[in-house]
Amino acid sequence: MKSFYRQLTLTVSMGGLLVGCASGPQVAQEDASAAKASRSYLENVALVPASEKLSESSSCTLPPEAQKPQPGQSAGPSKDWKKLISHANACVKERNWRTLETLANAIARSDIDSPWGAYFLALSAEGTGELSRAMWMIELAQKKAGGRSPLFAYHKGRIFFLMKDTARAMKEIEKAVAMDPGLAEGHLFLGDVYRRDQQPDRAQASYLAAMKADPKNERAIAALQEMNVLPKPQPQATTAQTEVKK
Amino acid sequence: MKHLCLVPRQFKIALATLAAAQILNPDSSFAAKKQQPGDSGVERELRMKEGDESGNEIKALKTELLVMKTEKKALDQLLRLQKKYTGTRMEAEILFRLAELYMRRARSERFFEVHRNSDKVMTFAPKLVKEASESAEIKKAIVHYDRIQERFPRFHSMDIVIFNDAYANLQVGDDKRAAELLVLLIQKHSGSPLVPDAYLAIGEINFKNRNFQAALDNFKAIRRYPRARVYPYGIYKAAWTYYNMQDALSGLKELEDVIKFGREVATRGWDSKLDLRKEALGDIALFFSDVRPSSEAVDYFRAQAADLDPSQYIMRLVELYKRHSRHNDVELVLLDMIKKLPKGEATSSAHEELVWNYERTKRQAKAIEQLAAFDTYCGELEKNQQAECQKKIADASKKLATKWHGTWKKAYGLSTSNGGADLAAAAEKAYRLFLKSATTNDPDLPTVEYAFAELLYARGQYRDASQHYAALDGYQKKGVKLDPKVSHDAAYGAVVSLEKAVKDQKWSDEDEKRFGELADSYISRHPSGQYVLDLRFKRAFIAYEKERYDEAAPQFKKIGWAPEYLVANVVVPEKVVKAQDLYLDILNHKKDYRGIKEAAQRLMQASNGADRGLHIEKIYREAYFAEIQQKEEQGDLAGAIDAYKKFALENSTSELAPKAWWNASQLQFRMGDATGGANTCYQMHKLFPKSTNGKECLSKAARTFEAMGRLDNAARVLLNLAEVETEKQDQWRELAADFFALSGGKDRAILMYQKLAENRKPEAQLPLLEKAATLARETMDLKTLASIEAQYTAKGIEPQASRLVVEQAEDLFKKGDMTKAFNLSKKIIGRDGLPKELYARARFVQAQVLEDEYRKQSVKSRVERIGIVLAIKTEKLEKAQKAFQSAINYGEASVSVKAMVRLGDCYLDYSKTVRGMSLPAGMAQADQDAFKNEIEQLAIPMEEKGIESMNQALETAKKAQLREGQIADLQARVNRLNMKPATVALTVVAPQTYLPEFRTLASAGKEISK
Repeated sequence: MKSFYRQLTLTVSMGGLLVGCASGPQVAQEDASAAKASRSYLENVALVPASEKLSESSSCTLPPEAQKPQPGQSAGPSKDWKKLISHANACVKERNWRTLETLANAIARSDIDSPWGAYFLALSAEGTGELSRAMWMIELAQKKAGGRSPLFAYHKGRIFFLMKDTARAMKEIEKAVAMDPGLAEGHLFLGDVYRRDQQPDRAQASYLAAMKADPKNERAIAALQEMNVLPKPQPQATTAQTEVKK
Repeated sequence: MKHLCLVPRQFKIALATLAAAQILNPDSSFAAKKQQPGDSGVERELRMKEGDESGNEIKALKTELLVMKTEKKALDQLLRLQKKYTGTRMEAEILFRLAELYMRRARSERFFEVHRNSDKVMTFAPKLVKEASESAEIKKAIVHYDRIQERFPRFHSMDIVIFNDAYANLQVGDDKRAAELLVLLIQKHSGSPLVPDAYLAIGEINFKNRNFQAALDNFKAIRRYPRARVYPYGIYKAAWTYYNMQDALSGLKELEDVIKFGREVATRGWDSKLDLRKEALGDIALFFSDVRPSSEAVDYFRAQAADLDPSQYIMRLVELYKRHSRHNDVELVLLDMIKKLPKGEATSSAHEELVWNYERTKRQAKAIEQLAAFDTYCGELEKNQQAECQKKIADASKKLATKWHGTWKKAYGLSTSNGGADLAAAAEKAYRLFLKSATTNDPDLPTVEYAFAELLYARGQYRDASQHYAALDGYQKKGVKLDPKVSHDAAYGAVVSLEKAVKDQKWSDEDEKRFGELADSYISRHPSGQYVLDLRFKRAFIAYEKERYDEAAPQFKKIGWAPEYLVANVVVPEKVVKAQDLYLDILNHKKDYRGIKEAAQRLMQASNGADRGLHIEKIYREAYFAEIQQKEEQGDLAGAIDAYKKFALENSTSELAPKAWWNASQLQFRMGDATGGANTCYQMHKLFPKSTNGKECLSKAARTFEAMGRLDNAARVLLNLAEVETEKQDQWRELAADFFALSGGKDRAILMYQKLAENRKPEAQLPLLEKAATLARETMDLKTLASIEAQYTAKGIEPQASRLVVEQAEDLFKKGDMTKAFNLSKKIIGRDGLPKELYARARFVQAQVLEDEYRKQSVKSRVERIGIVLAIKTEKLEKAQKAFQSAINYGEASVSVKAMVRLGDCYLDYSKTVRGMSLPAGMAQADQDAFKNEIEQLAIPMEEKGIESMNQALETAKKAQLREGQIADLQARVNRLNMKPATVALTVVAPQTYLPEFRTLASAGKEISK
């Protein structure tokens, strides 16, 4: 069955920030002004896989700033935006989607140029199974980032995958890793799909790319070992994220 | 010329008579009284004081009472003496004294008669006044004079007795008796020194009775007594008698003799009383005018007057000419006189008279020229003479100026045509001469100066007019009281004239200062004056025009916001309204919008006049708005937002209200309060639905909510936008439905899509119905779904109608309703022009139904039916096989792979099923073996075909790169079929979520690309 997102093929221009609406704010082309406006939100950002521990952890709670967010100045980010994101990260980790949505709305409201509000709204929607909404939100985040964010392309791929459209998921993730080869999780996903679908050469290349991005990536190393590209590991070596089904 | 009976001066005769009596009778009571040593205290007490009429009257009364008292004493004494000396020689003397005393008493009686109407005299001596009788006393004297003549004919002073008797009779009006007595005197006492006086008296009696010849004879008789005191009087009277006899020339000669005699008297040093030159010269003008030409006048009078100043006598002649309207003679004589007698005592009068002569002959230019000459003349006089001369100029110029001015106004209507200008010019010159000549204490000075100012104003000499109007204030400061109207009009005239002088030019500092002084003067002197407001306004206006707004503003404020005008239903003067406007204008110039707002608000409370009220309200609102803009410009954006909103709500009917609301929204956006801005825009549509910015604002609100991911809010805003932007109504509603669908409002979205579809053309309905169908499917809204399918079918919308049929068939198949599923699929296959995908799927449903029939076909049977059963089973397989192959042939990879797998499964099942067949236990072993052999011959190919089909599916999946795990699944099955060991099947899961972490050094994670 098709998802609603796929059904919405209209492209409606609202002018200004967004170029698409019902089918998601389609990023038709790079948007220099949006990229400029969001630049400060994307500088010095480290992307940490959700399974890993964050260096600065907060609780998944609503700080006062989120309950009544102060309007940010148009000149730049608001005072509390990083703090709110820290809380949002915690909510993702805890899979507390309701609180995450509240935080995401607060971020979107106080820092309208920031893509993070839309990003967390996408994660929240994804968490509650609203994949069409999640897709729309991630495309909104992509638009705010100027149209060329590998992270948001990566996440768009994730949502496609959850929509059971692996082919399009791969396409987005390939696009993401092409833009940012450092996205090890993207390479791993591609490697897994290729490997499962009996395309070992491509799988090997993806795993190697993952290793290149993260030389100590255990999953990549394990996969390559299983494929006999790398020497077999000691018996205790296992993959962290790959489920093995016998 | 008609000669009237003109009389000479009578006083001279009386004087002469009394003087004669005094000379002849030095001991008379009158003389005696004068010789009495006066009581210095009494004398001082009774001395008259100039100007004290009331006091002097009392003093005269007291004097008379004292005299009467003395006279009474003297009378009593004489009467006692009369008794005592009756019949003696003393009696005549006593009678004479008594007669004299009665004559003296007659004078006292006359005093009381004269003062009969005096209250004071009546109060002090009522009886005396009532009983007073001059004639009674004179008659008593006559009785005594007559008694002397009768009883004492040889009395030593009989000539005096007769003369005095005659005089007394003249006094009581008995001229005849008097004349008899005088003739008696002349005849009986021809040697008496009183004979010339007697001639004179007889002449007077005849003259009075118009018996001129007799009179002339008596007067001429006096010429025989050149040493007599009445000698010149006789000649003088003779002259007048000639004149009355219409012989002016003879009379003129007589007068010339009088002058000649007077000159001799003066030369010889005789009694100056005999010098009657002045009287003669004074009268000679009358005679001259009758008999001599005017051209000779000045020279004649100069000759006659000799060492005396002839000017005043010439002026008498001029007066005569004037009376007879002999203007040319007047002019001739006066010009001659001015020329020849520049130092004459009456020359100034000649100047003046000449002026008037010109005026009388309507020669104003000559008159004013002469007036100027007169002025020059005065200036050349000795200083002690100048004041009097100047006064004459002042009087004349005043009269002329006012007259000419009046004529110009009345006859010419202040017009300059037809000589009006000349008249006005003459009046102006006359006024100027007046102002030059008049003394400061001239009571008419202010009035005349005011009139002069009026003339100047009328002549357009405004600056000069202003000065002269203003001069009246100066008089008032010195204590002069003016008519209130004149005072007011002059004060205002000074200001108005100055304004007129300035005209449309820019006010100089000097003029402005002067205007201020004049306006102050007007206002202080006439605080309730009609023009106080105008002047206050003008003063402020000048400052305004000269851009001295700080100075003008408080003045306009004072005028425009005076409490008396800030009351409802009061008629506000135009100037007040203008002051209000200008004050507001200044504030606007200074960008003092708060000030404008407050001031306008105060006016609005009074709300005088609907139009004015609306105008002020508009200003109030504009100022209010501008004040907020100012706040915005100053950077107080938060304050400006609140103020804009407050303004909009308080002034919702204003054109600026939607703009204010719009501005508030835009500021919120600018401040980064996008939510606030968007909400404000959302409210704008409800508050100001007709706003021109409404569309833009809603559009921005929608974009903002969209940008914030608040699709629910964006959807609501879009619904409003659809109402405003009707040309895109459907577009915005569809978008709103999309947003509702994406934000938990799927039911609402479904309804909206369907509703939108109703109004569209068939080809445009499809996308909307598709969306609705998709949502309905997600929400298990079967009713809606059925409705949409019905629409597709009814309207023949393809391939959607067929797709729904296929999906329905698939669903029925899943539910086990094989027949319906098969038949529905059959419908699809029977249709033309559909996508291969639909045919493949439909055929696949059919294949699966046939597979089901195949699988349900049992192979259990008796031995004798085994062949039949197998045939049936095989036939079912063939049908399913055919259907699957048919589905595969459509070339849809995903359907083909599934069909190949299902077909492979069928083959394998058949193989397995036939292998599981066995003969009944009682059958021979050989039969048993032969049967198994046969069965094996049947199963092995089928098993091989099954494996082959699975391999084909795997290859097809690989070739089609099916990414949903089909390849791995197929590979596992193939491996199992080929007895290969199980391989590790990899399950692909969703890649991990990345979380952003902000670090100085991105060492732990992956820094996002820029």
